[in-house]
Amino acid sequence: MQRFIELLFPIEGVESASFSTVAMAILDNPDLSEPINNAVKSLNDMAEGNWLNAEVAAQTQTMKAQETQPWFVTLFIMSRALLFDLPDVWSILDYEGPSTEFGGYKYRGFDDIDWLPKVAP
Amino acid sequence: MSKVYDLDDRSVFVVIGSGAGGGTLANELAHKGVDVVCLEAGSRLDMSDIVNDLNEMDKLVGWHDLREGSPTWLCKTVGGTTMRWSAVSLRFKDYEMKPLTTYGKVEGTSLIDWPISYKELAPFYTRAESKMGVSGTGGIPNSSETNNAKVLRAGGALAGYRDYSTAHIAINPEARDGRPGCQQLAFCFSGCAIGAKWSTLYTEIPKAEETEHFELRSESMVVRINHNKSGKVTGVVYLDKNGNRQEQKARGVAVACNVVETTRLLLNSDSNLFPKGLGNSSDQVGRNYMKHQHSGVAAIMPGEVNAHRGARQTGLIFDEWKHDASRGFVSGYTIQAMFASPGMIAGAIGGWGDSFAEFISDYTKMAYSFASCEDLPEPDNRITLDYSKKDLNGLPVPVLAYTQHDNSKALEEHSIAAMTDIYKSLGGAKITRSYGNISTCHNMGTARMSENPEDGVTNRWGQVHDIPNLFVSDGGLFPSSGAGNPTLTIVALAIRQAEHIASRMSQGTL
Repeated sequence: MQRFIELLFPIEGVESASFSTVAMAILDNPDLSEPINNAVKSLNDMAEGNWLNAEVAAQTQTMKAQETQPWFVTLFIMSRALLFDLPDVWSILDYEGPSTEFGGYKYRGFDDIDWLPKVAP
Repeated sequence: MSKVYDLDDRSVFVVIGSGAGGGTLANELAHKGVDVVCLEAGSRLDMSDIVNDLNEMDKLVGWHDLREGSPTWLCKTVGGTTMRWSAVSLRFKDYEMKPLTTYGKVEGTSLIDWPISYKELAPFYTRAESKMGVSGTGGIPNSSETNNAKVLRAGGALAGYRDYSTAHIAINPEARDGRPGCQQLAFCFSGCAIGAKWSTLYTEIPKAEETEHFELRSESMVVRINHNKSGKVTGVVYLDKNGNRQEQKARGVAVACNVVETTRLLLNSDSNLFPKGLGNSSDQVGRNYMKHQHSGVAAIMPGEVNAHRGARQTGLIFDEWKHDASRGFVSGYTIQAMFASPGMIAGAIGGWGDSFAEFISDYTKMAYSFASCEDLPEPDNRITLDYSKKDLNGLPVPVLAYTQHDNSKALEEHSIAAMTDIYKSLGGAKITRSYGNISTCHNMGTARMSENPEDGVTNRWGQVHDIPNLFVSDGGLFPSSGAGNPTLTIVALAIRQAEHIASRMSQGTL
């Protein structure tokens, strides 16, 4: 599962621990057992029985071939929601997150863009 | 404190739902001395419950009951979707209220003109804007311009657009009406933690409670509307917070459950007298379900934008908001700057793999906008009930059937090209159109107002054609969708409807 998520979201700087956290959350969710089982079977069937040991290009190609399958869509949406909810990932993207405790962004750059050409107001 | 009415009190007027339509109607009626019981399926939050966490807030305010078909993003909470809305508050244009006259017949659609004119609604728009504190109206300053809005303005100007505004947002630019000015918290989609954004949770509802003519019953899910032999409604059956069935008697009832649930309630209240559901002798309940076409474009700009800082939506371009048949389609669209958290942006642009990773890695350089395009009514875009499937309350599940009309596809392509030009004019790169292109939050139609009872469900007052003391008070009333966001019009119609109901009551005809 972790490898599957890493290939979905190969964002530079995201550490293995973050992908592992998401994978564990998915594997621990009893509502996802069916799509997980379908994922294992479908990916392995298309990769001569062992998707995990296939080359990266082959792994990705196999995923691409399956991306419209319901199990893929479910796991994709769930893993995306979990991954982008991790503060570690926010930090890599420079997303500054909750703001109420800091008085919002009113004095923290909500209108500080300085590279735009001047146009009529 | 709030009044408490007896279940057998037949003099009360029941409002079902406490959002933009229901909350407004209830408050307006209470201020006119009408005794109102407002039944809300969700719970009532305190301000301290509102946190900067989209997922946690979704658990608190989201409507997660089983549904089938086209997705929609409803709220089950006191305040309804005014907890989650971005607060863009636009009036319909005059031509949008007479679409059949303006556009002519369009194949596949069921266009009708509104039974009321813009001129008739205009004074109520003014009152709604004042009530909600809409920026740039009635002496209220414009909203502050966020980075994302500045990109839209600059790019728009270079692309030839001239009609740009930072007004029309129901978020206090400065303190007003007992609520603070916007602090640019950036979590408008999950409830404003300081109450700068208009929500009935902390405006209409407590104001109604001050009148001594109002009782809010939260966690009270209405499952049926009852009527007598002559067909007049007599009360509503609801599940209280303990799951027990109760019946509140009523002099009249208004349904304001945000289109999907309004439709379900009307259809699920069928009887021997009304075998197809309440108000459905015309077979129009549930039909003409409209959403806005929402086409989004994201671009990676040459410099930092940090669009995640500040209110979710300020910055609107109106140049394409017109009917110009030479463009190859009817109606028009507004262009609206919008931004969100990485998770929501990732969902909006879709995709996975290397190209997606590269794109999202430039999150702080990203600008995003979407077009809100008029959606045309179609009889088979429709909400029905699946009687074979029941939700946790034992109610048949709503089924939302929706397909995109060719006119919407044409609008989508035109608007995508427009927004692409805007970002390209500033050197924007990796321009990506949104993955989803249908609104999941602007629900309209299904109980539309019509001059001719055969064409709709309600009359010019939102009064059900078949049943004189039953009203609809949400976006279900709209005969057309226009291109602007619907909430301001829902509020204006509710204010107008309250005057009608109170007047009829004082005349003894309701």
